[in-house]
Amino acid sequence: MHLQPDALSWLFLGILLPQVVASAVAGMRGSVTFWVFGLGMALALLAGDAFTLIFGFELMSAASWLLVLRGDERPATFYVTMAIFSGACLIPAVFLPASSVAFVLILLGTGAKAGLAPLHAWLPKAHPAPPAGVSALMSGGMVKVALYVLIRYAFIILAPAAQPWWGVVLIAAGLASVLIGALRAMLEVELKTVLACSTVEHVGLIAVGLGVALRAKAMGDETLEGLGLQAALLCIVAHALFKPLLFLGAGEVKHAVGTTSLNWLGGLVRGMPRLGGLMLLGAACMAALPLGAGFAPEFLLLHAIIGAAATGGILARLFFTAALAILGLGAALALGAAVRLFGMGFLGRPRSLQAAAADDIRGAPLMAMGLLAVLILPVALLPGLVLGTMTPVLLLLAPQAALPPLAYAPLSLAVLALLLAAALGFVLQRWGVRGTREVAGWNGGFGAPPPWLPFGDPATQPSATGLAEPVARAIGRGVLARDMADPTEAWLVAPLLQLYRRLVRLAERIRRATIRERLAFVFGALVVFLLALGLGEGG
Amino acid sequence: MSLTFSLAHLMGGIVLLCGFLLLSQRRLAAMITLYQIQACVLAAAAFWQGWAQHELNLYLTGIITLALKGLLLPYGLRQIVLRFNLRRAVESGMGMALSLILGVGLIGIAVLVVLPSTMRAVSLTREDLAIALSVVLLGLLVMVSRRSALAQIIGFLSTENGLVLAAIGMPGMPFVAEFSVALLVLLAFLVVGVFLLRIREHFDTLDVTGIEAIERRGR
Amino acid sequence: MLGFALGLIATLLHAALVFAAAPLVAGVVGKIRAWALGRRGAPVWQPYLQLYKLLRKSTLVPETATELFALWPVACFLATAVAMLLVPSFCTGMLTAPLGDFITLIGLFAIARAATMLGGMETGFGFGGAGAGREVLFSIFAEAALLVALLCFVLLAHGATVDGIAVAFDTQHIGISVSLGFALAALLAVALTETGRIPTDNPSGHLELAMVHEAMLLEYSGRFLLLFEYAAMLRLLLWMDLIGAIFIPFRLGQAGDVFSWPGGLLLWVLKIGAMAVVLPLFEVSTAKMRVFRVPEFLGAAMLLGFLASVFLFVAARIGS
Repeated sequence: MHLQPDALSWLFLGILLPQVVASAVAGMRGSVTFWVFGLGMALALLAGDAFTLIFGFELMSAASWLLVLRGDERPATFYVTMAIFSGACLIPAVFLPASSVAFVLILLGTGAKAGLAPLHAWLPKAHPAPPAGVSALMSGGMVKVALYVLIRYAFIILAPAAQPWWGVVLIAAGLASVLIGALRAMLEVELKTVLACSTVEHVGLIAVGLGVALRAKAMGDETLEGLGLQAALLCIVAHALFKPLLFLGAGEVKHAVGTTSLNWLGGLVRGMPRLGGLMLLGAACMAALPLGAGFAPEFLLLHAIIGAAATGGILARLFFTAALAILGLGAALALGAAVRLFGMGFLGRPRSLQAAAADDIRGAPLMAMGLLAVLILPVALLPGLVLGTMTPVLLLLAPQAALPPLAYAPLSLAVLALLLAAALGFVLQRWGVRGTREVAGWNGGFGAPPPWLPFGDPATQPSATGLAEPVARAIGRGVLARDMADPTEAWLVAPLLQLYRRLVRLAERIRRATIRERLAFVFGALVVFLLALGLGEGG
Repeated sequence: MSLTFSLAHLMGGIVLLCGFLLLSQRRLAAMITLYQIQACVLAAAAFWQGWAQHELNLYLTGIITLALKGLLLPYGLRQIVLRFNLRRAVESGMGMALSLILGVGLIGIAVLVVLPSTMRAVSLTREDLAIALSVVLLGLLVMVSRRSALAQIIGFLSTENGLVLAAIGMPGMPFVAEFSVALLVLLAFLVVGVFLLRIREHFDTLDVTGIEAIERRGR
Repeated sequence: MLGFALGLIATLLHAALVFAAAPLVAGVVGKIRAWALGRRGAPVWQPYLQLYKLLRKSTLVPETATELFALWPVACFLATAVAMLLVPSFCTGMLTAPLGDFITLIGLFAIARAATMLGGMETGFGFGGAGAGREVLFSIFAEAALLVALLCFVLLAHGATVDGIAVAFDTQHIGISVSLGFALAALLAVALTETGRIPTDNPSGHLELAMVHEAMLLEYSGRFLLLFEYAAMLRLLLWMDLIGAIFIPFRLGQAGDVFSWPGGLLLWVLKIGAMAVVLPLFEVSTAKMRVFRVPEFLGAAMLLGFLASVFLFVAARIGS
């Protein structure tokens, strides 16, 4: 055991700390497994040698598996399979010399853990299963630890052997994650699954940023390297704050209403104004809207891609042009997903009695979410300053990188908006008719609902499924598999499962063999061995 | 970059744009209109090149293009549409999204083919050649992806437009070649017109799926 | 100091002009549209009267609305208005120019769109939700097409602010190129979608089932509706300014040079006037598309933006 933290470790520990505190405050502090989970992550981040890193990483995997298992059994099995695969890739990789093989293994190992396409199918199943505090830490923290390992190996340990195609592979995987993650986030109905799919999308964004930086580093382009790294790191920080906030909020929704299906929520802002406000903040960050924490990384990332499309050969340029289009699709889908999440869950009419009678959050959960919300504000309004504090990390990862100042100034935009708001307020106050009057809604001329349905018939309200229907019809069928399932499930997981079943059947067949068959097997093996020996001697 | 080149270039771009939009249209009427626009822009490009290169032949090409492909053929096509009552016919061959993406892929291939082989040429000629090749390939794609015989004819005509575009961009192309191509197109159009009438008599539709079925049965 | 003062005056003048002129542009578009349809049409100052009427009317709030009902119109208006301040109209080099990065602008459009969609879902009635679902579908392709078209401008102008692009296209000799033609086609398709015009949406439609933008505003009245309507007028002028600044940037004024302002102003009026004539003529000559044809329309726009970049690379003599 050897601990040797550097700037990168401290950055990730700094990201981890608020989430652990928030999750603990929100109700996980009594669980020993939870603290082991946190300890594993801290160990992996602080590790000074490969053994400690792997030990912490696997401790984290095992503890999180136990936590998922407590929530639901089926995703836990899927999850532990992926965790074992990830470990099987990582363990040889950390002991290999710096080479492309080591990078590919690291990418497979960390990608499987971070939910990078095509190894992401487990994430939308496993992350929503455990209690909200654990989901928050898994999405906000564990994914970041995997990315930390990727960054450390790709940018520091394997740097001498770096090749431009490493970055290209990372970008391609990231783009696939962005598209699939955002599209599924738009189509899923369970609130926590939507959030998990959005995590896949953000991991994709981070991977694209890292890939641009990695490619630029191998090709010696300092500006792009700086831009890509800035985008990726800022996205990591932002995502580690708003995603736990949203997951904790989803947990509170579950607590208050008894379900997180968007088709059964609705109108929660009325009963839960505090939770509604916090979730609105989180959703705005998730949608990457300006003045939210998610916009600055998106801004940097798009500029990095545009910069990459301006240099290099024509094939690379076409690739980055296509990447820009995919990022545009992803950004708009993410906006749609966030709007749908908030609009269906918190606005409109309640779709169930529980949703109508939900009580607002108070006490510990409010404090936990408040902490995260307060921390989001500096990232949202002063991204330049946050990037400034990350300079040591950037210099550690890319000593030659050029770090241009951020061209996006949220504070100035906010000032403009405030000036306009003041002018607007003056006009409305001076000339407008004040006050509002509450009446029955127009509702296209339909009559008032009967008295025994105080919020009208819930079935007449557009559902979350209905809202996503145009998107599902227009592009869902083109990108996703049948029944809007994940494409990797149809193309990767199902064949693997089939192979596994065949192998099991074969093993079973061998186990059930008669005594003669077993003798024949041993005899055959002996003959083959002798033959090989003879041929080896003779040749 | 002089205005001569820029304008010729822009017209080439519009011809390509029309070729690309042909792919995205479902209705025959819209396809015919697009083809007509394409032919008119092509004629304008020929006139412009004739003025720039001081070539009488190019003016002739322009006049032929305008008269034949800008006016006569669209009129004939519209007559066919009216006669067969196809005004509201909607094409349902390959999916629109797929054919559009294939179209972009074809243009990319055209660019990739033209690029290395003409690296030394003036950049404008390069671009013109890439555009002309793209128009040809897009026309072929229209022929492949459409089921209606009429839409296939329009694709064929658009392909021919691409060839003419390549010809007027190259100084020194003999006029006889262009003239014979134009004549060939007219003949082909007449033949196909008669052919269509026959299809219509036999199958009561212009959809070529019926013929494909017979072909399969024959094998 | 003088430069700053002039910049401030230019910015304020710009603000005053665009905020005052937006309803007039909408009025002119409506008038010409009516003429093209063979009607007499409302006077061009009708939108001002309309806005004043909404200001003086009492504001009704549906019983099923939540406390955030008033937030969405304000957010939509503020985002559009801030974007309006970032796009140059008659002169470049305003104080807000460094803020006007194209991607920030796309983000501000996204805020306005999100606020409108949330406003549609607010009361939980059918038409609002249907409109919001369609708006999501349109926005997916519109945003991608816009970004790809933007790439073409950035590569030509070597800068990503709208102001920088306008200055570069005005002063450098870019020439007419195929790429810009394709990018223009892509941008026009996006502009028609974003401003809710025919062929993707009909601003004067009265059938709820066919509406997209208007369907989300059905429950709004009085001051809140005023904000949404004014934001829609601003958005129309904003897109005209944007297309004008990128594709017709000639003789834009300079904020630091007072004597260039009158020429810039005159040309701005001419540009906007021309677009206000062309838009309704285009609108009356086409039919509204079916909702599920719009993704194809915008997908084609996206691919056109892609082709614009491809031909830019070809023209720039880049080997494979």
